[in-house]
Amino acid sequence: MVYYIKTKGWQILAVLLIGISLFLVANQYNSIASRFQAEIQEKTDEAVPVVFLCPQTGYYSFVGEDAVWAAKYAVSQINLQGGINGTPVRLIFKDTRSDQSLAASYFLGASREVPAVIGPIDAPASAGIAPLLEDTGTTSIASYSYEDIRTEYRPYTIAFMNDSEIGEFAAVRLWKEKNPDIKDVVIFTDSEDDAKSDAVSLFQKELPGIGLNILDVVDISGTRSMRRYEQCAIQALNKKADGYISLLSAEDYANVLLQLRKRGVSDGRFITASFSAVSENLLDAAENSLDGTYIWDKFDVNYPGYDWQKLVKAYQASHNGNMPLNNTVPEIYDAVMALCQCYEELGLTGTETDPVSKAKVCGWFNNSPVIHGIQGDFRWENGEKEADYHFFVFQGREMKALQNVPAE
Amino acid sequence: MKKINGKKLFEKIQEKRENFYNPTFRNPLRMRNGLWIGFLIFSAIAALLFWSVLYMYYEVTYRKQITDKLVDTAWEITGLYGAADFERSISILTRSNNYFAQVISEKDNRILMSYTNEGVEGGTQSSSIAGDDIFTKLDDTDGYCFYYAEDDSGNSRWAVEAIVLANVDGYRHILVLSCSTAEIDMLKQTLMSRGGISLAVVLALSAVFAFFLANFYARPFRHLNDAAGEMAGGNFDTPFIPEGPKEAVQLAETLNLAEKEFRATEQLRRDFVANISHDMKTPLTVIRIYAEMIDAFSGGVPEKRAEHVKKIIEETDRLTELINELMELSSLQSGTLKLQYEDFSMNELIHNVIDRIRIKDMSQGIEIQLVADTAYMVHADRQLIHRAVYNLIHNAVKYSGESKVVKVKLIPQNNQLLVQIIDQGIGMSQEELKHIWERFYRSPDLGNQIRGNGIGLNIVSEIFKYHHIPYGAESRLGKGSTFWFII
Repeated sequence: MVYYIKTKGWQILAVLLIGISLFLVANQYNSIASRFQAEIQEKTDEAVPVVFLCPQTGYYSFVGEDAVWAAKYAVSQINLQGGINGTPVRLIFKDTRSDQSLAASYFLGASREVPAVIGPIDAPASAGIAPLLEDTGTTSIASYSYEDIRTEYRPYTIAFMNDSEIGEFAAVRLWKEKNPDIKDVVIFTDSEDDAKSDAVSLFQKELPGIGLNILDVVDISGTRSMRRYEQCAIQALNKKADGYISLLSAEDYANVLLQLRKRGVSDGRFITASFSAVSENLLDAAENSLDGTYIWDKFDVNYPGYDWQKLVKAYQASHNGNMPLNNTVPEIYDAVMALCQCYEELGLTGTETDPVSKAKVCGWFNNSPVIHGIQGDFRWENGEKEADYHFFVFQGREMKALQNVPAE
Repeated sequence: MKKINGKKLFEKIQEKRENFYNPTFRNPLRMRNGLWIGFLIFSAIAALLFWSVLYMYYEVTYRKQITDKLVDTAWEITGLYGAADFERSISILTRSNNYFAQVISEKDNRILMSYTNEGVEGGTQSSSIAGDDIFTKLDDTDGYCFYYAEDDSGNSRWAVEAIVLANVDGYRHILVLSCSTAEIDMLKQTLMSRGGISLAVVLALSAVFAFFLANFYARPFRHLNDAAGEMAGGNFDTPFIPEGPKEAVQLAETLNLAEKEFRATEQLRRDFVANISHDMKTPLTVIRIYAEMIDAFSGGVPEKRAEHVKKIIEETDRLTELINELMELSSLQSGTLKLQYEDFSMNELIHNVIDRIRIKDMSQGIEIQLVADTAYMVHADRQLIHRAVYNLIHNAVKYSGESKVVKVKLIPQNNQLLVQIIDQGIGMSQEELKHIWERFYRSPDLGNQIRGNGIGLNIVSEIFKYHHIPYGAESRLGKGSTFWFII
């Protein structure tokens, strides 16, 4: 009996401890949300708040830094023009540190003060806050460029960039149109990246319809080494394909490209790459091996528009003359501009949290009017961003635009 | 082909196994033969194990090292493709590693480059290394493969690594790097062919060595076994010769000691039997004599008859006492006796004993004194202590000789009681003192002068051992003895 009581006592104590720990953890995140909420309240004094959640540190900082710059730049441009209905816009930014839980806490706090939040811009954190959207009624302009997640949490999920899969297919289709002699292809991918795997599935389904036969899918996942890149290139060359489609990120693509060019693929037109490879790293690593190869992106770094050129100059001024090669720059700029346009058109101050105002904002974004973006017009339909895809061919290491591929 | 009955075979194995562990099962193998066979089997197993390990090392490690090096070198050359010193690098690598290298184009299977194991360009290589189907072979791979090719001579093989280097205008250029495995194949062949001979030689040498070794270990035990057989036959003068390994020497010494003890015990047993026979025969004889006398003449004479009947009764009592002592000794030695502890007065017990001895008129005019300053209580089995004290005092009375006093002293010692039974009689020598507690022992000097069975003191010592109490005796020849115990 005594033993039973003692054992039972320990069990009860353990349960209590776990319960207290959970409560403390939950409380901790609630307290983070409350603190952020208070911070927003302080900063919305005589200003229209634009809340932006973004990973400036951690794993996704490589996209976060440019996104923050773009958001700040956009806000500065709005204020130069007098703000929204005469009220200046204030950017309230929080570093989510690539942490999903932290992003969710900040979003919770923000949703108590504003009708819409921009970000997070990384897919995992965006997926993490999605379940909170319906309860809070808050619109989230974030990384929702996949049909599945938009459908599940519609109408609150607004993609800040256009669909990557559609872009990949559109680019390959255009590449095929430009090079009709290419019939047999090999695809390079990384199975550790779900987005790339989804693109491969799409290719396997759609490419035969445009006259392309997939001979092999080369998976580069695992430990990276020069021998690994050689093996991947050799695996592709062994298939005697006419063309090579790369879904790889910059460093991987650069190394594979060098191997292909070294081993007989003398004409660059036989190779096309994904927007995920576009970066300064690619240009530095691959250099003239890029010549003649194809690539696509969600924006055109050489877009001639005045606003874009102005942005480029501002970017170069603060980035040692480097070009803004990250697509989050125009995307976040457009997102901030669109939010301000929404507040202006709806006559909101950006601090409305009543259900009616939140619903209005949500409705505006879900099926938006045509918006004049920094690189052309775009709109949202059912949360999906419909904007042009940009297709390029390299001349040396310069990306020359071929044509824009309209969104479908 | 004879069909094996699995069930019967299993039962047979089970039976052998049970017999092996059955202590009563007699192993038909002699120790020497068993040792010899055991050593032989051990040598065979060791030789086989050694050969297996060597073979495994060769196959798994050595061969793998060679093929891994070939593969690594092939990839090293692949990495250098397109570099300005590509051909020079191939020359160096082939020479330093004893490899053969070819670069072959899929277009007409043309050899673009060829280097021998001396780093020299040109020269023909075995056609089997990169056969006509090399490109077909690569179609089913990821662009590289490893395989073995038979040498043209048919005596050895080539280890080959083929890697696609490039795809030029739709035709693959491949690197074929190879090295001859003649050396390692020959090693394997040697291992295989010599393995049997080595095993046979090892077994032969082991057989000889094992024979002598087995003999060395078995011979002493054989001798001991023979001597033990002699001893079992009743010859107690057979020596156990300490020879051979240490355990055999120890066994021989132990057996010698056991023989000595056994001889002594046997002598004691003979003496006891003789004594007992005499002690039992004597009263029986007396009983018979007096019974005959009653029958013959004293039956009608009341006085004589009474006297004779009294004698018969006395002898009967003596015989009864002897039998009781034997039974008591047996009970004590069986180890099954349970002590009945109780508190009692030692003084009172001793008085009882003295009274009993007086009643039986055994005191024979001797004064038995109890010397104690007070009454002492002890905790023991009263009955057994009574018996022990009785035997000791009785002995003291018997052996008091011309002296007339037997003293029993009670001396307190650290919460215990020292009991001394002191006589001033004939005493014993120191040599006799060593044996007085032994069963059936009687003083050789007294012969049959003083009546006794040699059991009394043995009973006393068993009683004290049961109680775990110290006891002992001191004596001086002609001066008397002191028996003591502490309770």
